[in-house]
Amino acid sequence: MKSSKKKKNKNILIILLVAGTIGLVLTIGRRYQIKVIENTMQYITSPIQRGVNLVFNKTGNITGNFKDIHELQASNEALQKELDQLLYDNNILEQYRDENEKLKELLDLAERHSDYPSKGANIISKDPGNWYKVFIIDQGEKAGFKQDDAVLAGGGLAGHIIETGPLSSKVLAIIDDRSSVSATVLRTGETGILRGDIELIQDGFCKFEIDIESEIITGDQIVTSHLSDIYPPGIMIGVVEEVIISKNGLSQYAHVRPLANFKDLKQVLILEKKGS
Amino acid sequence: MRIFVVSIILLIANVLQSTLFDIIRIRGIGPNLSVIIIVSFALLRGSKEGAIIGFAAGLLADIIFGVSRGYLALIGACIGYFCGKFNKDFYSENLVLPFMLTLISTIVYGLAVSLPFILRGKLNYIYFIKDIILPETIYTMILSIIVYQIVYVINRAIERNENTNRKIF
Repeated sequence: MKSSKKKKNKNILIILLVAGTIGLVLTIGRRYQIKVIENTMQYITSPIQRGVNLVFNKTGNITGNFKDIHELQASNEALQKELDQLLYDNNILEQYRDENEKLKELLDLAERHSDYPSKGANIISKDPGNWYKVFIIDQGEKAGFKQDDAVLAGGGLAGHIIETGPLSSKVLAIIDDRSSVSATVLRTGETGILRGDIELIQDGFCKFEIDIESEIITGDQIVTSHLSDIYPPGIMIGVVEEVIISKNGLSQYAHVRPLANFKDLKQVLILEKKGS
Repeated sequence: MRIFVVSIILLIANVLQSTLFDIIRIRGIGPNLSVIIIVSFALLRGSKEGAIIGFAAGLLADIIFGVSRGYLALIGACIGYFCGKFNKDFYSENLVLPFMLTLISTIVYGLAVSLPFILRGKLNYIYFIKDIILPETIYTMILSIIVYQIVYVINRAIERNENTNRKIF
């Protein structure tokens, strides 16, 4: 009697485990690729790459020092003149920027994205866990929302709809670890990838990965790029807070503060896609 | 009757967690109410019901907020099943056992939830433990003292109800 009851208990656990696994397998593959093998490989290859890189940098410096001292002095003088001119220009542009910002504030949020029909919605609940940033809004298919519609808040991009029901929709915030957005630096036009990061999620920051050669600085404005499938181009995302070059010197990324304040988000604006 | 009451409790817990508990977050970290409920019911009712309640609670969280279905349900079922093992040597006024099991379960839950991050290449495990799992565990443990009492009272009411029903027929 007792042993049969035990067996029954175990069977229940096994049934539940199998059900869970099937659900997991059916749904896991559609969002992201698992790349644990590539990452373990990196642990083997990256020290070698780093060593080679170090050796080349050091020897390059030694030979380079003896060349072209005269040329350097001449170019230094020319650059100094250019710098003075640029500083003056920069001051004027600074004033223009302030003026521009004030004018932008005067315009309504909905008017700025007048190309796309937009609708407001309220946030009704947020993910209770400490790992992800998903929230639910109170409008769904009945209001005409579709999957992959862009969601705005506080004048900037907040995320996109990942699932719609008849009455509510699930929104993945841009600071969620699973989110990535193709973005452009407004000043230089260079594109990079803006990802959410689990370590920055409490501060409400995003990580903007960009080419090491690009001259991104603190205060740069980041907008959505023309490359993105789901986000319309030119939506403001946020401002660069800090630029960090990775330890091996091969990549750089910036911490971006989104205009949307995720801590006390109440209302959002949904842009519906044209033609779809 | 029991199924009805438990599913109502799970729903209320989920709604509470996703709305009201957003206010009581400390530095962005909130407690894990569903683990407390799974642990207390598993302790009071044994492995079988523990596993089913864990599965239901996990699946609910999966459906409402998850991108993939089934992962939290898996974790919940396992936690419910193994906490139910302590049903035999447990008397309801004992407060140490639910406390300790909540501690262990929350840590296990946290480690399991962080697994997808590791597979995706976020390997800063120390950060996960120090800044997310540990504060969450402490917060959950404090909350578990209150929630366990409520679950205990509800469970006793259901059991009394079931007994009277049986006497009638």
